[in-house]
Amino acid sequence: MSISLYGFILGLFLWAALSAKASPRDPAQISFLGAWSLVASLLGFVPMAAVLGGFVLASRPRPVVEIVFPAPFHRSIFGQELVRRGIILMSIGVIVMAALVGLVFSRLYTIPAWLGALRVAFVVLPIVGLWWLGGHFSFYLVSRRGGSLQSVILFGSLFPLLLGPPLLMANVIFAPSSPAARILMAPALPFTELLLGFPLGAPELLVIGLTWAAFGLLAVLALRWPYEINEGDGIPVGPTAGGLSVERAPTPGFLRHLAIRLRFRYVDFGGGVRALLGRNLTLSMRSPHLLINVMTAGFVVLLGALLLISPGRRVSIAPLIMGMIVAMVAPLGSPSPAMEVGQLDLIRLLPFRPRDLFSGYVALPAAYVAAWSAVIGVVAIVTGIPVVLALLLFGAFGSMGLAAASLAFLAGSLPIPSALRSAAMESPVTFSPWLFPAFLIVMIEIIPLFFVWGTPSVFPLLEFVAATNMLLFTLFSVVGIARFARPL
Amino acid sequence: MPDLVVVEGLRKRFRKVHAVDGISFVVRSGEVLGLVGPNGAGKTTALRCLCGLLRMDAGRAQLGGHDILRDPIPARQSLAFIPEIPQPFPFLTPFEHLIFAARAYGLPEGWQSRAEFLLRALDLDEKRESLSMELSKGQKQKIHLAMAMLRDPAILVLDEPLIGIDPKGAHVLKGWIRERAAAGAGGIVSSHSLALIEEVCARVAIMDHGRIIAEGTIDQLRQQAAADRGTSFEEVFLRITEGVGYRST
Repeated sequence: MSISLYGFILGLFLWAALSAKASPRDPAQISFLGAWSLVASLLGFVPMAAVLGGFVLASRPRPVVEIVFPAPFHRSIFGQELVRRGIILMSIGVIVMAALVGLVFSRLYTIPAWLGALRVAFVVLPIVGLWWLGGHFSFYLVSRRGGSLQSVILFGSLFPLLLGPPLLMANVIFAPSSPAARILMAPALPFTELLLGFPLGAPELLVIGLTWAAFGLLAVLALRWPYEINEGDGIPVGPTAGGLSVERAPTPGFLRHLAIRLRFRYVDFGGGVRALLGRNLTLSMRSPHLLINVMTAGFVVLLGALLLISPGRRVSIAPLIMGMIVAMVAPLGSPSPAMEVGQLDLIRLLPFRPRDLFSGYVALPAAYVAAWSAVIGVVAIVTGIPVVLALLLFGAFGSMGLAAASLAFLAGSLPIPSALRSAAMESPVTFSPWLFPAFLIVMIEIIPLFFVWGTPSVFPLLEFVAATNMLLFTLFSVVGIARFARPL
Repeated sequence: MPDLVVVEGLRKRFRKVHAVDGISFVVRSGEVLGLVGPNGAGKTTALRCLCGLLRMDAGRAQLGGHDILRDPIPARQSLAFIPEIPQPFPFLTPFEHLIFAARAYGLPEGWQSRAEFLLRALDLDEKRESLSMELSKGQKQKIHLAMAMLRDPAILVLDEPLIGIDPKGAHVLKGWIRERAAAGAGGIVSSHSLALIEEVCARVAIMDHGRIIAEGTIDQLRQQAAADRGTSFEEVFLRITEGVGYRST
């Protein structure tokens, strides 16, 4: 039944994408490099989807597993059900994002909104799905082995995330016809052409078809896999998983050793809400925030350097990628209520007014976002971009980051599913699922910018993005403060 | 003696389940109230509503004369809550937790020596440089305890405080509860350890199915259970809650 449903959706997408005759109003207006960068970035970001995929089984509510599926029962049904829900949720997320992007497309080109949405969904779904399921399987399989291997997988996933887009850019700039560049560009090209409505040849159709086939195959496999779920198996969601029992402190693993070695001294700013600010600054320099901040800095500096040394305006798209990274990691670079689900009781009991709590949490990401957006604006000016455009970039990325950070604050006040609540009791670091719309919002806003970059349309769109995000920031802040003013 | 904690008609429902069904009680200065009851009786829910962590459907709660919903800041300032499941900040050390608590609650200078003493008293001094994520459950519970003890609050709300804590830690905790009560503070201790309740609580409230079914000193509870003076508190508890005692076959 499920396979038939997926098959029907796949068929609908394929028919719509290939049979449509609509073409852009002015093909020359389209930035092919922009569209390609978008798809290439998507390929570069999929390790993140893979990491998220790994948490499918980790978020299972163990007491429920124990009670509903006691030892003699085959618990694989439970794992399969989690995967099924995961695939459905992922598909809904992609389709919603595609629908909104399709609406923007319809305003920019003669492409009907539904067709634009279908093209985006058809391109994004198999790429994200393939890596998500790949991540799910790799995490499940290594969870049968040990913690060190999981660390290797995690870092292996982060490596392309860190270096993928800069490497792609470097190849495009310096050796566009080199075999390495061709190999790097090849996976993204067919999808880019499909996204823009270019005629597709047999090789392109083959690549797209194979990607969809691999996604479908992996989905069927994941839905039928005989998972062995027992207490202590799956992804270790907390330090208790490393110890023999909760009474025994776990043996520090590689990540914990790293966290201990890279200890940033505690910053004591003084009393009241400054205490929260000091604690947050300290934690932003420790794992896992430290890792995210180092990655952001590496990304932005590397892309900025590439942009500065590139000949002409060949990689003028780089500021958009830099801004996308800054806005996406804004809620992750320092603690937020959405990332302290387990510790929220401690936070809510502090003798702070909700608006002080808000300031204590949002001040730091706001400062980070302002600083990085300023760097992007300056780099853009140095490379010859008009000052007005650089200011608009600063405003758009700064407001995107602010909106994301305020959503991370609000997310901590929203109830979370019981499965995650159960995991929060065991895990030291638990994300609220309400944090994820922040990434979705950034993606929805940034995708149209890739398409209009280099055209006059970029000015009104950046203004619109900045205004919308300031509105979202105000809304999330007011609702977040109001929600923290009363018990859950 | 002034009333430190006043709870009136507290109700909390989770869908169709009446977790707390209209309970009322008062805790006076210098008094510690024991809250006992079978699993699922509603003890933790009641305590979380009382502290302002859970929204109550009806009723009101006052801490130190301040309504927890209308005037939460001074109410929280006087409150120390130790949860059943300890969840300290994973990437802070025990001593850094104490720095944060001292600053957030605006303790006057001189708290450092008290912090050092607490780390030693709770056997956390050897772990002062360890991140809390590296510690056992009992050690994490001790971090919560140290954060509470650092500021000597007027109102203690302790939910199963002895779970995972070693005998020395338990000894320190019990001594602190008695010391705080003697100094005019007060609070509520919820526990399945009837020995702890007998040791530190002047009065006991027994909850079952969201209601307080008996309240008073242990002697008064014996009378309610129609038990003589030699009857253990455990037996009294079982009679009141209509539990079936274990019989060897």
